Amino acid sequence: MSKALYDTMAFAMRYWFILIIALMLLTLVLVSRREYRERRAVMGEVSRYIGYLEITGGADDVLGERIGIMAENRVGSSHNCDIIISDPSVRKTHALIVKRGGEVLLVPMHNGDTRINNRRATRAHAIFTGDLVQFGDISARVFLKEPAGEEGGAGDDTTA
Amino acid sequence: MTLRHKSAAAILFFQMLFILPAFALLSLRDGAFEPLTLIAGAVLVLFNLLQYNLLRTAFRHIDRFSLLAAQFLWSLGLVVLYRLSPDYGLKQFAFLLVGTLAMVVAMLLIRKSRDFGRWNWVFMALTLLLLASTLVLGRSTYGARNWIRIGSFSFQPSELAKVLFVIVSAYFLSTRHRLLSFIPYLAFTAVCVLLLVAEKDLGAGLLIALGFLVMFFAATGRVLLTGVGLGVLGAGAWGSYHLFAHVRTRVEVWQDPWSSYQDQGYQIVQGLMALASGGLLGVGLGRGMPGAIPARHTDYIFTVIGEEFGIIVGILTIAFYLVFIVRGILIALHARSVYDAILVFGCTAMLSLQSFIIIGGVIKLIPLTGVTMPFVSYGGTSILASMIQLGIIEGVAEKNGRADEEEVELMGGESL
Amino acid sequence: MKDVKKFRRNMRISLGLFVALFVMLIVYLGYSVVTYGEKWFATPYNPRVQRAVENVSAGDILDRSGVKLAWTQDGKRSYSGDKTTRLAMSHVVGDIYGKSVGAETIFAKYLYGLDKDLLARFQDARRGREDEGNDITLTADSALSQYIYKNMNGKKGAVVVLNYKTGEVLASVSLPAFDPNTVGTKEPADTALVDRAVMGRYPPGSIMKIVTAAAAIEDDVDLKYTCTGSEIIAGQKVTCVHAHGELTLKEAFAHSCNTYFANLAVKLGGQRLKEKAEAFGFNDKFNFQDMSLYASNFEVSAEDGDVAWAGIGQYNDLITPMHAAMLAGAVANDGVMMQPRLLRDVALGGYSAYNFTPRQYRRVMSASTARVLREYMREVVKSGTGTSAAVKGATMYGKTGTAEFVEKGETKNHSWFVGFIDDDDHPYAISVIFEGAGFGSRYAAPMAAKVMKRAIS
Repeated sequence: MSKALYDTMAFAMRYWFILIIALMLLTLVLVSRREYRERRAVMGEVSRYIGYLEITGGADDVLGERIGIMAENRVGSSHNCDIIISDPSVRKTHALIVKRGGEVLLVPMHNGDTRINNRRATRAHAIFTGDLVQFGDISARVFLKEPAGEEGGAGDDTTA
Repeated sequence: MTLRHKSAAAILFFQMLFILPAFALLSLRDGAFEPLTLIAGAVLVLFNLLQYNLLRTAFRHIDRFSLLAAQFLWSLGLVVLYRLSPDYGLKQFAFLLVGTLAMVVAMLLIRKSRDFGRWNWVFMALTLLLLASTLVLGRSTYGARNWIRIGSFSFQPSELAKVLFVIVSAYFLSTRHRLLSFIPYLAFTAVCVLLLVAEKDLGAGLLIALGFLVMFFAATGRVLLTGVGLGVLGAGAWGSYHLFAHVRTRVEVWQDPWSSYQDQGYQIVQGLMALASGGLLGVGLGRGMPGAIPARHTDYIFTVIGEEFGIIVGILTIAFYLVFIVRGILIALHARSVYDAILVFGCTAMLSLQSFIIIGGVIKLIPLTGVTMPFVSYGGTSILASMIQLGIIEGVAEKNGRADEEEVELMGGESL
Repeated sequence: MKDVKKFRRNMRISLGLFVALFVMLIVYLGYSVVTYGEKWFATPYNPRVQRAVENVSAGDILDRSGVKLAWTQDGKRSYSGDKTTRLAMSHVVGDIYGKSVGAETIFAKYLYGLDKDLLARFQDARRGREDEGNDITLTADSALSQYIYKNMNGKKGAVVVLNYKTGEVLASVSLPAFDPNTVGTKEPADTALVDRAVMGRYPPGSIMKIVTAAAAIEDDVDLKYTCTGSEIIAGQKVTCVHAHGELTLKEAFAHSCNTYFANLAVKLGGQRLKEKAEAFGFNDKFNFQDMSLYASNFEVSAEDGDVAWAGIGQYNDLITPMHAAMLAGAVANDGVMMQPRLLRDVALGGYSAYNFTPRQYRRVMSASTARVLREYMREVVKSGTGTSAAVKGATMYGKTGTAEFVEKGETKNHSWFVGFIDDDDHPYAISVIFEGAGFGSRYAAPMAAKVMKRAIS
């Protein structure tokens, strides 16, 4: 291998190195951006949830499923609802779950059979972690998130 | 609701396409084909792949992109170091192995503990000890006393000291509120910087001073005080310019290195000529003349990259550091505890400032100060410090990822 | 930690700061290497150039007519056979030891083939020519340079002849000169290695009146003045050769009246003069591709006396002969100063690899001001101090200069002349300086006439 041949080869390979490194950088930036965006979207959604309902009975196919509770929710079988429970016993708009002040309230709609801890609910009532709620035949347990505050450093930065 | 990890296979593939041809080319440099060189390249590729996969398996949520950026940087460094002398390349690879170990240790420690509060005073004492040790035991190279010899190893305590400084800062800045309670911290910082100035290690001194200012500003938001701090730094710089001849020399040489090209300006002039020789595309791996450049395997390695690979690759390298910085700050923003956040922010800031200071000095944007290029420069302590900082960043990223995963799964989603 | 939201915001601000810093790094790197890279590379102490010198057979250096000025024979660098030509062209051609900065150094990348692209390298490697560089053709005319050298008669100084339309330097002769054949072994005497044309910074003396007049013309300042031979301006005594009597600007220029121009300078003011001088290129760190031209100097102080002297080319004014020729060229070229060029062509295996295009340095004054100045410079040669610069059969324009300086306690004068001829076939500008010789009209002007006459023949 003469020096001249090495020189020419090394000289030619400059382009290759520049290309490869540029490609590496490009892919790195694009993939990381995409992953970051998706992650942000998901975590943003997650952080908006104030808790969840875990189905405990009434329909075998959805047993154990968890449905997130946001700040304001319409519960019912209609597709417009925030918490959709499709069961014949559940009315189109069965109830509302809203966060007012420091409390989470369950507001039953008059045409539905809504129970809290097996007692029929006729008007807005506060619910807490561990409560058993029932919409028609479907029962679910309530889990509410602890309010953030402790170290002041919790969670995401969704407004980034 | 799924949290998905996007595939980084393409990046690893490109990495291999960079490393193997580079080492293949180097193996042909001395006339006859040298299989050992190509094997060295293959070993590097395997090391990167193995490290990536093992880390991902053990720590599911590490920030893969920072790791990949760091991998590119040390791979580029290894290619250049091997080209300068296979001895440098092999030794550096050994440093990387030890460094990986240190990185994993750092990650485990971060995973376990909430903060190192109880150890804080120990860390402070250790930092001061490290910095003072070179005053007593130090040997000087290129005018700065920042090396210690232990047996046949050279060790640079200021590199480790700066990592400890970040850890100490994170503790103070996350747990103290009132100004008065900061005084021990401010005093500590001042002592560190003054020790370094006394040892003529201006690069490390500047790094700690600037790192302090950035962390202080971010954590306390007190613009006025930060401004005062900046003013003090400026006054200190101005004072040292008038007091110390070697500072004056640095500034003069920065403004016009050509007039003293035979002595003080020699390094800068050689660096600029190397960069000019490379131009945009470089002269080709192995075709440059780095022999004339002092510190070409440590502080000045950027000029070797510039000469043989070209300014375009030089710019791309700077861009990789940028990726690092962005990812680091994102991790800090998502950290679940303030202590973790400052820890990551501090490490990211230190790495960014360090790379800016050395590259800026080499291209004559700012006066030259002696710091190494993180991950790229040769040096056991340099690699060790950089890897520990990477470990801290990844450790917190892992914590973030796990917390994210728990939250998502709590809400009924899944994390892949 | 009190306010976490603020903390997050501050971190984001810091991110912005870091990004800005790194963008600045990238931009500065790209900009400085692209702009100054050639300059940084083409220095004699660049080991790469030195290595090339040892390993590559450098190409030929030819003058604009194809006359060989330097070539490599059997590994040895040889120069023109005629000694006078060697000496005349020594500063332009340079040497291979890095003792001077001439074509051998500045265009090393062409001479040693360092700029060959991939295809060229491959072809050369195949043909076995890889250790050869390229031949370069300069803009200089060796015959003219030789003539100039002979006629300088060993007097220290410099002569520059350039084409004011294209910037091509036809001749740049500096005395004392060195012999490139022996410069490696014998240390040349005196200051022979100094290229006075581009490195010699001399007080311009009355040459500066071109700038002062330009400012006055632009500002429409017509001073009515009567010269009595001497005047004390702000405590400084300014004298003329003799009393010129009542003068207009044109007459004062033609007769180079110091007291007139001193008053004019004070009237215009130091700031205005400095502004105009800088427009003409004073104080600019010229960054020309083909040469390392030292900066000319112009400064003023708050004292009117200093302003007066600065306006007539003394005080701290300094100019190089090259810049002086460019100055004259700007007047000839309707106010546009062209970049001085030395490289005409690069030959790569038989075909031209260099595209010569004239480059403008800048517009230093409006075309109308230039036209007026032309009139004045014509008057200088017709009836003023420059009559000895007249060339038979051509129209010569010019300005004489007698610049005072002090050497070992003695006051001496540099003899200056700058000028041009108005000829479409020979658009030449010239500057001549004889160090410490005496009056401009006596030595420099007749020299200019001789050279110009030869140049257009």
